[in-house]
Amino acid sequence: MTDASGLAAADVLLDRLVRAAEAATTLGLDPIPATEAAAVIRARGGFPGDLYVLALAGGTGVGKSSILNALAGDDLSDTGVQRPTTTHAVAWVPAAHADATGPLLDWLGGATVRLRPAADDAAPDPLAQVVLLDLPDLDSVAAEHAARVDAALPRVDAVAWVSDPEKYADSVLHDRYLARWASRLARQAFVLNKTDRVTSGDLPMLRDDVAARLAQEHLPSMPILPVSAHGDLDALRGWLADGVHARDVVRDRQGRAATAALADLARAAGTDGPLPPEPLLTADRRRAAIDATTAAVLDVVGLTGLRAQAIAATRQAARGQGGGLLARIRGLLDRGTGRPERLADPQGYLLRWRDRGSLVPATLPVRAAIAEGLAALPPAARGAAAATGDSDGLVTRLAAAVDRTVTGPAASAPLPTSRAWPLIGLGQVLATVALITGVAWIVAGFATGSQLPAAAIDLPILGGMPMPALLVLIGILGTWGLSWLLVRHADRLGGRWADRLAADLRTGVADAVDATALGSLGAWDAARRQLWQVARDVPAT
Amino acid sequence: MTEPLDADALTARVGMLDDLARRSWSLVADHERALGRDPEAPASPSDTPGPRQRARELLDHVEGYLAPRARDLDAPLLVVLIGPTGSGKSTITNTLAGSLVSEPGVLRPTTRHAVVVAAPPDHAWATGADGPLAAIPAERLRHTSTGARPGIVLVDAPDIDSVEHDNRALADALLERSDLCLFVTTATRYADRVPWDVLARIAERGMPLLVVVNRMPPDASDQEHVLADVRAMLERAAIPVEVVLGIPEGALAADGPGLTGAAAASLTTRLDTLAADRDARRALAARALAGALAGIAPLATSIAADLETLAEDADRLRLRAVEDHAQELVLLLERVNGGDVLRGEVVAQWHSFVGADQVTRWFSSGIGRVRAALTTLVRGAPPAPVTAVERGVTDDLASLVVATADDAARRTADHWSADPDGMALLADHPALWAASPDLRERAALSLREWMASIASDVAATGATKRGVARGLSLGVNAGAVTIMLGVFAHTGGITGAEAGIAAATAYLNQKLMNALFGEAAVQEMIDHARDDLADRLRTLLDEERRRFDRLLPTVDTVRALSAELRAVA
Repeated sequence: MTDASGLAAADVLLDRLVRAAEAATTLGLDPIPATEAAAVIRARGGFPGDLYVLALAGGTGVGKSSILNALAGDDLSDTGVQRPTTTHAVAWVPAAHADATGPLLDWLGGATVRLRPAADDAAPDPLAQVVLLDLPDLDSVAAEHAARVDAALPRVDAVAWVSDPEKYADSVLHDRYLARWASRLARQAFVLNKTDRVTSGDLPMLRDDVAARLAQEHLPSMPILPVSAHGDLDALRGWLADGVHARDVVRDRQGRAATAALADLARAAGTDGPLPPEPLLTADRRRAAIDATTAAVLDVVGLTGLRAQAIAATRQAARGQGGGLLARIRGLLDRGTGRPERLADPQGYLLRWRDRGSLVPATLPVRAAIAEGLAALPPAARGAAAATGDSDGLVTRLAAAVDRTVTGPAASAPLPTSRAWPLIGLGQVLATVALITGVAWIVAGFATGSQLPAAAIDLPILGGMPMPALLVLIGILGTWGLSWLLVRHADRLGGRWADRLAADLRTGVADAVDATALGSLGAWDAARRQLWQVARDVPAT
Repeated sequence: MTEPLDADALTARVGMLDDLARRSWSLVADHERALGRDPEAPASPSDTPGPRQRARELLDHVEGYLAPRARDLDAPLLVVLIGPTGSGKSTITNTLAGSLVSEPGVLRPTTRHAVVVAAPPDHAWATGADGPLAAIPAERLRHTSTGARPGIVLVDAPDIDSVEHDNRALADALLERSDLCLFVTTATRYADRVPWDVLARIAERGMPLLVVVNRMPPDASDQEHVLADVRAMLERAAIPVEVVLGIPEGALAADGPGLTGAAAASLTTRLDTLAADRDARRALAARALAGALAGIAPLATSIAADLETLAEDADRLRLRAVEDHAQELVLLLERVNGGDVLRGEVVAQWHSFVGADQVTRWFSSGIGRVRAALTTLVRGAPPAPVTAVERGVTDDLASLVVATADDAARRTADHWSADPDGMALLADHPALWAASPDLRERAALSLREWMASIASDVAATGATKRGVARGLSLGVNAGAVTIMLGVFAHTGGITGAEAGIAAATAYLNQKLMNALFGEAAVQEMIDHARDDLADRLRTLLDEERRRFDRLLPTVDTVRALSAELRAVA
């Protein structure tokens, strides 16, 4: 029944409300204002859009029913001296819409229907599009009357706030009703009844006072209509006949209600400013938190230990290829005791990072940063922001990040080896042969009583030296020197390997901290931005 | 004329009530301030009166009415005109004064101050230090002696139901201070909800009451109908009333500022009679005082109930904090006993020291001992890495304490925020969402003290053992570290491949310490150290929790006050 533009407008509003409700849920705020506004818009869309419901709302005794009766020229609604008078709502419905309005009025809480016959003459009927709904009072001791009004106000399309010179400054009308509803209505008027009781000189003053009061309470401006139910109703009649279209009334009213609901949520989230909300952590603070957390995580992972393990493992591999006899024997012994698995296994060492300490301390920098940001948030939004620093969640995410890095390609790169090692190994063999030969020579010399020839060789400083002794010397010095060389070389290679891996780990962990540890904070920041956008109707980027 | 209480008993009772009223008000006001609300800020008249209004009523009532009236039954009567905005109180005041003392007007609310019609000496008494109006700010009272009746202070209060909230606050304060109430309403207004809150309080206070229904419809049967309805409503609400008078709309005197007609005349006569008859005034004052004393009971009972609710709410919030902190403490102790505080490197460092031969030789014998002695001779004795281990443990444990306290604070704040009061209490304290900034230092200090106490424990135990010399040569501090590691590693909580090191360390530790001190003594020291640590951690978390407690009223004080109020009622 609604036309295309009306449908589009409602859809846009619904979309904004749904996105606001999502964001509110992420922020731990109550999404009900948005979901309820959306429910009302959806429901109203199912009822006729070519007429609108104008409620007469006001205190007891101000003459709502009298006004309705005067407009109708008939006793539609009971009036009387006993307060409160009207208990049930009365709806004055254009006869042409009699059938279509039934479900709408039921949705509004029900009303006694009085039909308004179509005007006889051909002149256009100024009230053809309006259903007047006379509600019970909102301020008497009959609490059910106010409850009836409270139930109808979120759903009606327009309101005439009816008051009189006695009651127009009442706390109930202003504090309870205008403060809440005036900003949510597009079509509304302040009807000042019983103006026949004040002098014509006082009337303008009274009118100005009502206007000043509304302005002082920061309520939207609305027409102030001085009337008298028993006399001059022209102001109200004129307003009712001002040519407004029902579709516009319904659409504008929904726009106002949605905007107000969105503004309420934005206020609760602290995103009601003109500028997009700042992220909880500034870029610098975030960087600092990431750096501190990364350092603490790497402290647990243990880069020093990693280096020692890498060097030990490289040494071991080097000894396997270029070690002397003693080194090989030592390697065999080590293998028997399981020492290499414990002290020379960098990859295994990395995988065992959990045994070296808790990640809980590593979460402290992030959490301290979040805690600093909380003060700037409204109380209702603090819980969800603080939850992004939840210790268990952070630890789990950090641990997953570390696991990914220590099983990643950088960590599984093979340990370094060198072509020089077999050469050193060959040298070791030669040195060992020289040593054995020299020793054998000397032993044989003793055994045979120095029968074997032992030519002396002239050395520059040492002077003449027998050949066997020289061989022994070469053997000892060679073995020792080559071992020294091998170890230094292996240490250098292993150290470099460990340094490369450490650098990879550092970036990997830093990225992971950024992406995962602060990940929920990112979602939280995004939800705040979204709430700001939908509340100000800024297109999403 | 019977006095309900003799003078001394009355004075004593009023003194006690005054004390209770002051304490109730200061308690309620402090709590309001903690909630971020100004206890003196006037509430909207359309809000149902709450604990704050009741505590204020009692204080106003005792100080502004009971005390002055108990001192002197013959002091002038305070008659208050009270009612909704636009009910014509000013016109009635003018009628009673016989002259234009209160300016009626078409704009609502007409008067923002109270008009006091009193002879100069009566006015001086009423606003003097011991008078009923002493506590009312002078700028809110306009005094006139025109048309005043000696012995009667007539007060035209501002409205009770307009958007000007401080009008209601002033009207309430005046109501509590008066002997007689003229309640003015209109034919349009009489069923309004807000004025009935005030009428209920008038009845509770046991105050003599006259009701005037102004602006009556012209038709006589309509008038009768309205008056009958008003009387029926008063009866249903159990509000005793001297008389209900109707004044027709527009019954203005042609020649004066007031009203004409029988009702206006009967009001004037009532006041004239009182003014002329000292005994009648005294009788009315005595009746009002008796009613006021009787009316203390229901008010004191409601305040007692308010305070109990306050205590329950505070208890609920406090228990949440206790529970959350206790749960986190349990987790922390599990982590401590599970060895989470023992970093691999630290353990390894200690292991290489304990495992080194010069230590093992203390409990080796035979060839092992000789070998150890030789190795030490060759390599030299490495120093015990006491500082490194201590610092490592302190750092990690302090971090864990901070993280735990942080979690506990966040949980508590989160739980509190689910409650509107809890959220309001936290609104000005965003720091309570995290651990205190200085907790790390305090934790580190406490842990250092803990280590020092272990060291003295070791020294004391060593002094009684035969292994003194050996123990001391190893170093008391090294012994302390051994005990400390026993606390963490003893339960065997360490798992995984590092367990090799840790277990070996623990084993060597135990062997070492058993050799030095004997097994039972070592176990005792470890147990003692563990209990001491648990106590210290509990204390640290308790201190953290107390930050939340400080936002809440002291429940015992609140309950005690509530009991006193019930006793007096």
